[in-house]
Amino acid sequence: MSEIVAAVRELTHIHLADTPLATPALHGANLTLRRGQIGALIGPGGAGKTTLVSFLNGLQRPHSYGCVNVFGLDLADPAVRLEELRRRVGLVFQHPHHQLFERFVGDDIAYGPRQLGLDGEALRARVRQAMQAVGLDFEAFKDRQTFTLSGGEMRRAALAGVLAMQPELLILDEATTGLDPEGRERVHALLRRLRDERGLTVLIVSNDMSEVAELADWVTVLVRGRTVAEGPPRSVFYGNEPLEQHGLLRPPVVRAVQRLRADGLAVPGEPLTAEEAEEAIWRALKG
Amino acid sequence: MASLIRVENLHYTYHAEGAHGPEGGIVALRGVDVELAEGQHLAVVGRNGSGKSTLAKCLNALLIPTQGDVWIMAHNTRERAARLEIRAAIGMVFQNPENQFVTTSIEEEVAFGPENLGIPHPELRRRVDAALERVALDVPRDRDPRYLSAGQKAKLAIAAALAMEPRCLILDEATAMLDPLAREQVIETVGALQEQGMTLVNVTHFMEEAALADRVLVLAQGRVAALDAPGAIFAQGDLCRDAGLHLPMPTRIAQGLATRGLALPTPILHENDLVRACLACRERAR
Repeated sequence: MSEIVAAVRELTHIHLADTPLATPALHGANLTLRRGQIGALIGPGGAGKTTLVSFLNGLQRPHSYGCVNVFGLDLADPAVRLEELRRRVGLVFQHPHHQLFERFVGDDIAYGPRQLGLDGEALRARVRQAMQAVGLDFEAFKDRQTFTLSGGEMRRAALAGVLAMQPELLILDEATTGLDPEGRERVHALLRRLRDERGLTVLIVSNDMSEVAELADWVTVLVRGRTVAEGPPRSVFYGNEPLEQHGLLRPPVVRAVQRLRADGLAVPGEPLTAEEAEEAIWRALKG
Repeated sequence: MASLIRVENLHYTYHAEGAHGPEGGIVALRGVDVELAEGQHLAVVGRNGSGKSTLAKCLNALLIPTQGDVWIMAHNTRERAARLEIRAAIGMVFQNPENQFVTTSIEEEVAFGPENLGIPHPELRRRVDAALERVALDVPRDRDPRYLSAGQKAKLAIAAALAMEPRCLILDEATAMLDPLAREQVIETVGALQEQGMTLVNVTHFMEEAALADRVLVLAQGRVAALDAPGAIFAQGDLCRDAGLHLPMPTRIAQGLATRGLALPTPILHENDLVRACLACRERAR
């Protein structure tokens, strides 16, 4: 097993603490990310997923209970400098328009690497590469005004801006939501490639259980601020944890397989993709 | 049956800041024709940037065609005097629901639209209650919408649209941010609304949702690439590939099994279809 890049242990967080509006957001959250893994964080709406990931690049810091350690830095320690952390941890927000602020797409994507000291041809190459990775044509989009982009194009631009920083840990908070199926596949292929070739560690927050089943190496289930299950997707989605009671559904493939089994068709294995399910159902019908 | 929505040769071009005239704009729609009868359910699918959201915004007069016409009931969306009536009849739920929130409590948010129409208090209360019940938003009603989760916000936006008692509901990727169970609940809610006669336009990237519609409109580069029943759309491999569409999961599995020589009925669009077809196969084999 590769080294642990990020570890959250028994984290507690209260929104607007010490005010009459105080609301508990996290209560016993655990998360482990290993180098070169694609992790997925899932949970019903309001479970605290976005809050939890905001700790990983120091947007929030642990004050009371629990521990957050990223790249060996204990984030509860006020002496820890966040500049280095934020250079290594790229976070793509849920809403891309919160992230885009330059007038032109090319400038927006160049903003981060420019802060790292890149300029001229090196900067241009970095931006071109990042745009290519997300499927935005450099020539066609660099001079487009950000407000003229469609929703899906904005997401790609926001993702390109973070990729251009070449982070070691990339966190995508529902970053494929609203992308068309091809765009989603392209992002998936990109994440797998960066993981396999550069050892990039990824954490996706996703409501798309098919995406999680097909992409993730490790799944963490957060319910009302508490981690209730973690493990490889097959064991989480075919396991006994009552996900439905927590307001979660298993991936459509898993549900179809479980229904067939309940109706007496002995579908073998633990298929997670349509292709695996096709094979398993074929064997059940012909075997 | 009279059509509720009629779109004729709709063109729309976005102009850059300060620019006017035909040159230099971003062309989003290039001649779309579609008609929707009362009670029908239309899904709109296509790549990012294919013009889906632009079409949706043209349907409730948020955008006025650059060329061509949109008719809602008897009104052209160009008629300024008819816009209030059009917007009351065509409810809209956007991709980012918090952009449409204007108040500081759930209850006020749902009441905001009808209150502005001058709906009297007892009726207003009834509408707010009914709308919140329909979307199953399980949160104290005095909660500030800003502190809701993404899924709760989407439900609230739908409730706010429902409180206007519209004849047609346009969902512009309204379920994109929802967790799977919430999404399923919203789809059920929307299905129940349709049974009560609501006309629906659902802009979505989820092909499983598109499969629930009466007809699917496939947009490609601002043009209608296809307009047909979901079964007919998903049976056309070339069309789906060219328009960047996925097949619904059960359809994909069924087509794979069919390629292996299994005789399955068509179309298979939903989990139920797939389960039934597989069990029928096993019965035949016995």
